[in-house]
Amino acid sequence: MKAWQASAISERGLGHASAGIPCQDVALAGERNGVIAITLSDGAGTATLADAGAKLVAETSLNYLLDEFDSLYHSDETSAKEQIVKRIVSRLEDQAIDDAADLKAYSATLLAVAVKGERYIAVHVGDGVIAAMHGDALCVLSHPSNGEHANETIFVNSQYAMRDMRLLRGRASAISGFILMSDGSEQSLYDKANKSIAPAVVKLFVARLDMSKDEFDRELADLLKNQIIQRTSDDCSIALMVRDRNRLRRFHKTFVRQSRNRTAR
Amino acid sequence: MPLLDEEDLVINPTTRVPMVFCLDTSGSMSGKKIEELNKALDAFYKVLLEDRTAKYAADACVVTFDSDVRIARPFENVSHNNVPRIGNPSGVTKLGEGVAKALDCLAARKQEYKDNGIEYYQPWLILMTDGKPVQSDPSIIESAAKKCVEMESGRKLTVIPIYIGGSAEQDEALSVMNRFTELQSARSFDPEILPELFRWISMSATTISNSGTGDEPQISFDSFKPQMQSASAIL
Repeated sequence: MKAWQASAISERGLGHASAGIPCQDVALAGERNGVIAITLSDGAGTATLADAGAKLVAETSLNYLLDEFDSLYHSDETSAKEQIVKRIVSRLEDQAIDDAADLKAYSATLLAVAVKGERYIAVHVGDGVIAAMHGDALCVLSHPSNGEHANETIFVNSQYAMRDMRLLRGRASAISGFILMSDGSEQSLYDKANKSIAPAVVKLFVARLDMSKDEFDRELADLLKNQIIQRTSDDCSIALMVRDRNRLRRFHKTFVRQSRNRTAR
Repeated sequence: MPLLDEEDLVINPTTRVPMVFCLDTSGSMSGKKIEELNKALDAFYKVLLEDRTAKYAADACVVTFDSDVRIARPFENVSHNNVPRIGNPSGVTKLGEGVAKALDCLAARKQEYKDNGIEYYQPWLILMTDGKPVQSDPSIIESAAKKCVEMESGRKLTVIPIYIGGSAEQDEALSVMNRFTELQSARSFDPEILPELFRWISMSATTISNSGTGDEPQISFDSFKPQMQSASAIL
């Protein structure tokens, strides 16, 4: 089994920068107990402590997946969802008591993927996208969950979190890459009309395997700052984990060939 | 060399802010009022065109009502800079029929968005009149008002009720307008305030078009602070 390589980067959006508001996205990656995981959380614009909420949601879900993978993998679906929501909300409630704040002040979305051996768990509440390189195809594992209007979504501490949560568990044998993106990055890497992921995501997967973590993280931060953030006012985050360059090569070659043809035309 | 080229990135359509203006063009709007209304529409477009996001986000439609109801400008992106011109006010005030048509236009536009995978913010209905309804079918007023209030309470519509003051029937007109909204009270303004008021509407649209998920910017008269002082502005 090839080793997974992970990276997670967040950048403050232009809207928040001009308003002097901190970045309300947090993306993390971690590894222990034979589990590797990536998590991402986007704090609600209306939440007064959105940045703290996103940090707590990303950290708590990361630690929970790393420590309780087997339990979450084997529990029945409802029970696993309850465990995740309960753990995160409990952490937010503790913080709310410490800060003498309302729980809603920490409202944030949740996206997470964890892998142990050849098994994976993916968890999603709210907007953003979870996608994977499955065999020779890039596919969306979980689409954004928005309300009728663009700025409406579900947060992990809302009463609708259980109903909205998408929990996927299965074999990872055919999967060579996972990516999480916040709604800011979604604007550039997810085709909303066709509900498909940008094929160029495979370039990120291959680059992660070709570069050291530090080098890739610098390049990914530059991509967010110089290109992706310029197309939205929102914060932008990407977390990915990838393995086995050989399995990515065929799709990557096809993609590069198509890109050259497109440019030639 | 960057990780991705520009052409690798997806171009999604800008999230829209649908706004339908439902404007009284009855005979009583002649003269100063219609002049100021046209200036106001100019101001509305000008502000939106100055913002790189808002000009592609704002979709505006203009419905006028007098003895007839007309779509003076079908829904169109503001970036087209196709400012509508309202002329020759005449006839009675079929307010209920005007609002019903405005809601129909909005429903059709929302369907277009859905068919084309375009996201949108909560739509706005800007309702403006200078008098009480005349020869407007009461049952149509009733059903249009009910629909507005239902949509408003379901957070599917924001109603901005504007009364151009100065007539003896002001109290009655405001009372009728308030049947179309339970969240905003109709306000009376002098005609001279209209351009400033429409600028404020477009600045609010700019704020919304630049907002992110979870943001809930609302448009409310509480945030309208006119620079121009007027005896009857903001009751």
